[in-house]
Amino acid sequence: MKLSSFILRRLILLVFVLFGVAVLVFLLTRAAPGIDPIFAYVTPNTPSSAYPVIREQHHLNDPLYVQIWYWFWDVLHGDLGYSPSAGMPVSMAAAIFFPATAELTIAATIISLSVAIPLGILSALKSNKWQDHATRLFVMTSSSMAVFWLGLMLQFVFFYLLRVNGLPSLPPAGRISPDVLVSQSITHYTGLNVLDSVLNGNLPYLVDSLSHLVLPATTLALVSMGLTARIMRSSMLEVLGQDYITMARGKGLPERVVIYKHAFKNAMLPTTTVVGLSFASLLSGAVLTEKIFAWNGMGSWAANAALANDTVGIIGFTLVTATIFVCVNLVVDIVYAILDPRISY
Amino acid sequence: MEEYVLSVQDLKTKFFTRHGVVNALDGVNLTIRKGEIMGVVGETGCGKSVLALSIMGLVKYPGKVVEGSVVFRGRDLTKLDPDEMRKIRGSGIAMVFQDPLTFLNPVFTIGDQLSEVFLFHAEMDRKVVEYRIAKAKESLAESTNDGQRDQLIEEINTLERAKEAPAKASSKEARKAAWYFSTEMMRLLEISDPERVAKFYPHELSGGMRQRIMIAMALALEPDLLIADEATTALDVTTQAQILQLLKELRSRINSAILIITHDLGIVAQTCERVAVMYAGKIVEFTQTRELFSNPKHPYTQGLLSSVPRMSGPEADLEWIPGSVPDMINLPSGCTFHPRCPFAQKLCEQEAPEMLGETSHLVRCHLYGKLQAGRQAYEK
Repeated sequence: MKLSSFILRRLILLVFVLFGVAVLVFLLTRAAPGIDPIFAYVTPNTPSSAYPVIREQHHLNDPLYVQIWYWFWDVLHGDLGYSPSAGMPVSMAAAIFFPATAELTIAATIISLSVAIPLGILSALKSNKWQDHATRLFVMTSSSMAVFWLGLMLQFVFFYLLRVNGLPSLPPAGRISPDVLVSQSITHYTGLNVLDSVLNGNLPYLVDSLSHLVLPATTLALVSMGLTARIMRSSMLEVLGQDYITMARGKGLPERVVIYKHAFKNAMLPTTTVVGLSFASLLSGAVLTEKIFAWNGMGSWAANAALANDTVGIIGFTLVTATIFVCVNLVVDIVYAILDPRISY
Repeated sequence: MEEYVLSVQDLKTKFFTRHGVVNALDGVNLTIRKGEIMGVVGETGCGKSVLALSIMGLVKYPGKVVEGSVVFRGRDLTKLDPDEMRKIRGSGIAMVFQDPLTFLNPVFTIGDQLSEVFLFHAEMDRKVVEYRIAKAKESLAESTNDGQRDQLIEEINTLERAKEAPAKASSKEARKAAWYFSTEMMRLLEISDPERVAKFYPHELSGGMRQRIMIAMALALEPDLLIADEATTALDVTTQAQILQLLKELRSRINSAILIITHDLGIVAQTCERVAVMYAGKIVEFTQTRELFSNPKHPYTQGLLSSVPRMSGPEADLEWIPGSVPDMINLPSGCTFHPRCPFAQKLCEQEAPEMLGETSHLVRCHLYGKLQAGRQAYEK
């Protein structure tokens, strides 16, 4: 009951934050030099003779405070303009690219957490022993590696080397094999291939999309797990020194309960913040990883738009990304409030 | 022969720090009788808490018990393997710590933390049957319908028979029973409305309540020995008195021995039957509480007693012990108290005194041994 009113309050606040974001984005579209706002309302095929009419139609000759009103109206109706680099309206591009990125991000986060959290705990329990040094070395190495190099190396080993030796290999690029796409038809409920194939009960589609997910998700996970593991290690070490851990041992609890119940939940608090932040930044698209693995997601779209001078695309991307960040932060705050009863809401 | 619940022999605990070896406990001998309340007093840093942790086997790295024995129920605790030791903690020897806020886990409810003590020690299958009996008795007390009463009495009898060889209880039932016994324990500690309080988190309770919870946890399994390490220091005087009174009452009910570790001589006077005075990792005087207050022998004890402010008697300046607790890495030679002792002689710098006197009043001071003649002459 208390929690639901907290969520409601945060949702109301969310509206104001998004309003602020939208105002900033609008001002960017109007303030940046060389950007004609009309680009949002034309496609490459629109004859330039039609421009004055379009300008009039979209109130682009009116003062800014009138324009912002119409712009908001459009945004609320999902009309963020036309992105030439994507070859479609911004809203449609976001609806296509975001699920792809979300799928990659979720997979990467699952891999990263399931490796980083146990490693962080191990590292803390065996602090300054060889297990700790090995873990820290591994984590430091993987997260210091350049993502494009790591991605290419994974492709080289798990696609090229396996394939030339006649072994089963992992697909190096794309989200689905063309032959599967042709032979299997599924209904896309969410745009997340793995989830959709499960909902459709289509096994070949599931296996194929999972195999495409492995390499890019692993690349992202390897790079992002370093921070998580280190935060987990340090917060676990801090918690293990707390009085209530002595108390838990003093009560005669088995060591596994002391660590995986009493210490773990407390150590997860700072880790949650870090995981939330890295999740949000991954959701806004991992440009290099998506490029290397030809994964058509938010990152690829943003990179293409920037290269093609597609300001409308970039502004649309900015607005979508800001919204994602705000929403993920909200989720992190809620998780935090559930984990830590001391947070008053 | 006297029955001891705990016997500590020549216990030495050292901390191997970067700056050198800290001799936190330097050969401590201590025996606690069944059901007795014993006090250990001393200044901060004299090793009182390390003594408690050494008995519990909870000394943290870089500390280590290097010598001596802690005999409990005929077994030397310092030589037990970790799992055996774990079973003794909580059920055989329990501990109440100083600050109930930092010693309770902030993210779990009171009921959850109390239940654990039962869940990981008690025979839960049997406890579940006991829980069912208790519940059936409750409904019996409320019931007015004769047929229903007969049925309930029948049920209680069946359960009583089942108690000897209880069926395997599910973990859900075990948790429910543990929760029930936790609230019963809280009721024993005079916490009103325990069913509601059990759902609270530690930060939602007052200091006195939290301390009661900790004591409830410690006494839940009726341990033979309860160690209270500065258990009332963080509380105000009224709450302190209540808690001490409660401890005394529970002692006679559960018949646990209690080891009270404190720097407060007032608490010792109020509650303890025997008392050990600690200084720099050693026990320097060990006797009955009454004897200690009426006839303190060690110069350190005398100093401690005269530095307690008094409400009655002629107005006088408060006395104090000159100097401060010695550096535990570089302890003074001979008697560790000699730099602060008003009666110190050459011998005190050269030779460490042994425990002297009768078993009813032991003291570690040359004035009662090699320097006795000199002291008597001085007193005359």
